[in-house]
Amino acid sequence: MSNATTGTEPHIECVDLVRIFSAEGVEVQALQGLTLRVERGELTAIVGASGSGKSTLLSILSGLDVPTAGRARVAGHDLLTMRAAERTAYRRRTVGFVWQQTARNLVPYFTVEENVAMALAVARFPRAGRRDRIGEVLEPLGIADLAGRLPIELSGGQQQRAAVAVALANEPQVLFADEPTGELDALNSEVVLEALRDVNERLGVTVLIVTHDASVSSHVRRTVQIRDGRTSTEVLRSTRTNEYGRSVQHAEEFAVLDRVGRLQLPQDYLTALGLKDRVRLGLETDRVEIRPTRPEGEESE
Amino acid sequence: MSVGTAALVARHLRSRASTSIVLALVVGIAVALSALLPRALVQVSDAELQHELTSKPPGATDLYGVGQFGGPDVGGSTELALETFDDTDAVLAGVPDGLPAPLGPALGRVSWLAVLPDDTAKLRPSRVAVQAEIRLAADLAWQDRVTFTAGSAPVAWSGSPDEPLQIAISADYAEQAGFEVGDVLEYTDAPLEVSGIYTVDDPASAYWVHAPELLSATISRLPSSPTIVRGAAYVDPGSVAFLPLSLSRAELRAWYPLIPERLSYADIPALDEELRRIESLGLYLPTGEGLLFQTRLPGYLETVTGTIRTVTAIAALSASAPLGALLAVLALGARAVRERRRSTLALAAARGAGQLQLRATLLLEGALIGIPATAIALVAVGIAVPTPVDASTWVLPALIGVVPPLLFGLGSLREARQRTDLGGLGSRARWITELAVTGLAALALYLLARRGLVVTGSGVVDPLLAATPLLVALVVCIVVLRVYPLPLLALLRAARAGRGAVGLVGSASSLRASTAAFGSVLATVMGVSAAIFSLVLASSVTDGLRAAAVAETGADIRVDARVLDDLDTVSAIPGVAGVAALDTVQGVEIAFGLDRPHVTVVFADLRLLHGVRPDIPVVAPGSILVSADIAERSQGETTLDGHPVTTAGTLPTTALPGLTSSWVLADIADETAIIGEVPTYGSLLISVEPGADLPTVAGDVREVVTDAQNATDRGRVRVTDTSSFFTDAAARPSIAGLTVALLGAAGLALLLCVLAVALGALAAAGARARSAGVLGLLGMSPAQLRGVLVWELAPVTVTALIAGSGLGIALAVGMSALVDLGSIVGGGASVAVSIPWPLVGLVVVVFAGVVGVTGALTAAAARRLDASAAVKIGAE
Repeated sequence: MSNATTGTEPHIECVDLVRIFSAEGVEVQALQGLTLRVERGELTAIVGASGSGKSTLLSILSGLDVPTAGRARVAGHDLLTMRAAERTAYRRRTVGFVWQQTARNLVPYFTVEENVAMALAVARFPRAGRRDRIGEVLEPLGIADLAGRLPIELSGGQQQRAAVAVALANEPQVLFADEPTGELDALNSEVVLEALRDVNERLGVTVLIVTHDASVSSHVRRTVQIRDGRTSTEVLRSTRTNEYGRSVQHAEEFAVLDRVGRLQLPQDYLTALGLKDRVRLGLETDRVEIRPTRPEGEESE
Repeated sequence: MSVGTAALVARHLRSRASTSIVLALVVGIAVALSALLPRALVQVSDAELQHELTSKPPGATDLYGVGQFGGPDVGGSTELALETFDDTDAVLAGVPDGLPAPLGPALGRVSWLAVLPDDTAKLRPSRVAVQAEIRLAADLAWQDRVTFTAGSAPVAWSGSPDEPLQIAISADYAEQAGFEVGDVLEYTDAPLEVSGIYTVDDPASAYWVHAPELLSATISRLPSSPTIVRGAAYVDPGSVAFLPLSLSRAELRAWYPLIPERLSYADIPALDEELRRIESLGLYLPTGEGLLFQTRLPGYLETVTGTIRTVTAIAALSASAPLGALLAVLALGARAVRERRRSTLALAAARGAGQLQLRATLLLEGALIGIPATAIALVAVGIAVPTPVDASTWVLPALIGVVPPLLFGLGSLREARQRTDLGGLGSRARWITELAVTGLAALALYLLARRGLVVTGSGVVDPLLAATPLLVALVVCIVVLRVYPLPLLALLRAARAGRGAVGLVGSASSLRASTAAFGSVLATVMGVSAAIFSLVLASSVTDGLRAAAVAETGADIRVDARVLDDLDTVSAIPGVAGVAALDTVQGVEIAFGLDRPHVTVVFADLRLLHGVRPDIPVVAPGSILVSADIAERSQGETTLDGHPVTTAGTLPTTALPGLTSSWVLADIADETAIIGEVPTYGSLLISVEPGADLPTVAGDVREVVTDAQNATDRGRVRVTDTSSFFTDAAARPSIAGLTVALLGAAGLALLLCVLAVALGALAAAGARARSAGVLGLLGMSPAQLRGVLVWELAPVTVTALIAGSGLGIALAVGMSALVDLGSIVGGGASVAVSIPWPLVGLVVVVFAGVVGVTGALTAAAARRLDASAAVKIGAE
């Protein structure tokens, strides 16, 4: 499992992250001790159902929200202790964002070029170098010829690629994408996800995609499942060469063990074995066994 | 296309600029009006001062000095006498130059004369059976004012006892005393020879007010004494050289006309101080004598100051409502603009724009809305109305100008927040804000109660006075927004139990959807209260003016002249319904036991007077009616000039025109018995037939009465009628200005209310469209959707209308309790508040209509969004 594999500091690290919202006397615990570790240059998808806490996690990672408790670090920035100035610098140069809706990615009355320029202007990028920089980010995404168009004059896929361009304007170390394919058809989704993978591979940018779309996981090496405000399982994909010398995709699912030894069993496991309330744990030399608790008569057999 | 930061910001500001432009227009108009108001007040104040001073009778505003001529012993030298006159003239003419501004420069050329003590002048044999008393007068410029009808100007006397001293007398005096040119009269110092008889060129000139005995004779008829005819005669100034004794005792009268055009309202405090100084100190003449000044100017100035203070107070109060509505509109407008910038701000914030960058951009947008509009409005007002005003009057326009940058730059940056689904402004913050506003309102009321409504400063709008009703209105809005949900909650509970969906959805939506923007409620409350405040005050002032007109005139038409004896001709004038003649005798002793005050007795045919004035009863001969102010002294046996009378009743002190205190009304039949004289009528009270044109009848009466007078007395005929009095009073600068201010404030408040309600409704249009879309999908018919809208709008609007009406009436009643509206109306009577209920109802209906129409338009806008689009928007 990746969050236990290296001793060096991870690029994104969340430990026991808790976020409680209080509104009109009602408390909602959106994150309940989430732990996540992403290494530099990884392309990771975080998948979860609606209300699982993935958007809250992204809000915290992007510096737009502050956790109630726990630890969260991105590229060396401690998100809990960050002051306003550091937070601003963090948003300007450390991280980039791509959201689901165009309205949250692009200023509708700015052209693509001006949208990138705005991100540069916000980060006080020298004016003389801006035009070159705009070219640098638009070109690899294949939208250089759309530079003078308004967002409304672009297709959904083009809009999202423009959004990626804007997010990359200030050479961020980490790119967060919140449901980047949520409003796109399959073909355009493919294009956008490929663009994100390209960014990850070509520029070495750590990419974290948050989505409820399970099909996204086929485009990334690592998929983290969130359930009830906690990371529950992880799927790691790798390409291996089989005995015939062919490359085959290999996917392996892991449960995530937190710092104090808690883990969530996948729902289908629980259903299949009728695991409920109490289970039996058994420690073997190389594994831990979990067995359902049976009625006394059965058990004695 | 440039990708520089400035170009991007410019592009950002240019986009979606329509609301900003509207907001800039509102700011410009508001700044212009707030800059115009003090200028208008200065103009009204100056105009009121001019009106007050120029409407006074001739001579009333003069600085009049009187003293002894004194002077050196001219020892029978005509030259020396003339030299003394010239010296005195030079000294008196130089007085204004020695007085500080504003009094000195406002005084015109001096007029003066020396009047010797009176003495008997006898003609033997006498032509008429009267006793003539004469005063000799010397004036260097008298011949410029008269025209001789007989004889010529007197020449300087030689001083020889054999030669008579020549005099010139007025035609009236000559007629009353029975003198003709060439008559030689017996007189103490020397015989007097009438060398000329003159008529004055301009009887209305102030000169004759200060030297009335040279215009006409006064006749004194006393019971059982010969009739005395008093008058005066001009002598050549050189002649006084030989009358040293009389000259040393002569009275010197000098007066300086005040030129109102050289004064402004701002001069009043300094002018008042100067007048009081010169009144108490007087002036020393080279002869060693002193001149004591008298002037009625301080009284007039006080009247103007009182009127203007009241007008200013009312203007400040009435300016408060549009100011409040304006602030509501600005806040709503700023919210609308910021709402439009929300996504961009959120995006910029997410991309790392710091607070400073976001605020700077917002501040820049606010400044671009506020500052140029303010500057243009101020320059335009400065060019259009170049009235010099106090520097403090720039404060309010400047404050309005900086409101948009402040609203934009200093507001919370909640627009920049990405997520709005998780909590918002807590109820604690709302409570704190409401308590703070209520506390401020209480503080303002306390300060106002301690200080009073009328400030002593010059015509500047008082910020406390302007802010207090606004704060009170804010509290009313808070109460409205807190209270209107209470009956709604009950309705909601009832609706839950019932079967109707409209009531349930409508009351729930009104309670929870917060579509009732605070700005809209504030604008409605302010608009309604302003309109009703203005209506009530305008109605009270109008009623007060009518009452003052009746008090001043005493009937439909009042005529004053020296003698009015041809009543039948007046009665025969078409349109005249009744005529009552009054004979006023002053200084008659009335005895209530041992209490013996002097009163003015008015004799009239009480039957005729009752016909003209039904409020005055007919009493039997030998009975009198007394004015209320002396009624309490009326006890015991009463005698009038020694004749026993019975007090039959009491009348209000202002019941008879021109009399302010201590008077008695008696029947004409008793006059000869009481006073011993044949009645001489000096006033007529006339009632006109219903439907007759009052000014026309008054014109006819004037013509008839004037024709019946002799040439000298024609100038004294005065005809006033209630409608002309009312029209003249309503045209006074203060009243006209106040009317414009009140109506303008009401109209402006209504306009701003419309704008605020429309802005609020437009802001809520999206939410309404979404809920209408959802409800439509659930199967609600358009009629049911309209019903929901009515439910949403009606409760809060009705509450706001009731609260606004109450506030408006309360402000008007409070205002009239604390400020003497009588000072504007004049006439000495206090003005009662009159509430024109039908008009109040109309205002409420108009405002309800405005809100209704705006609501209907919003509904129309909502219908334009189809359900699927609305629901999709809702998902964002």
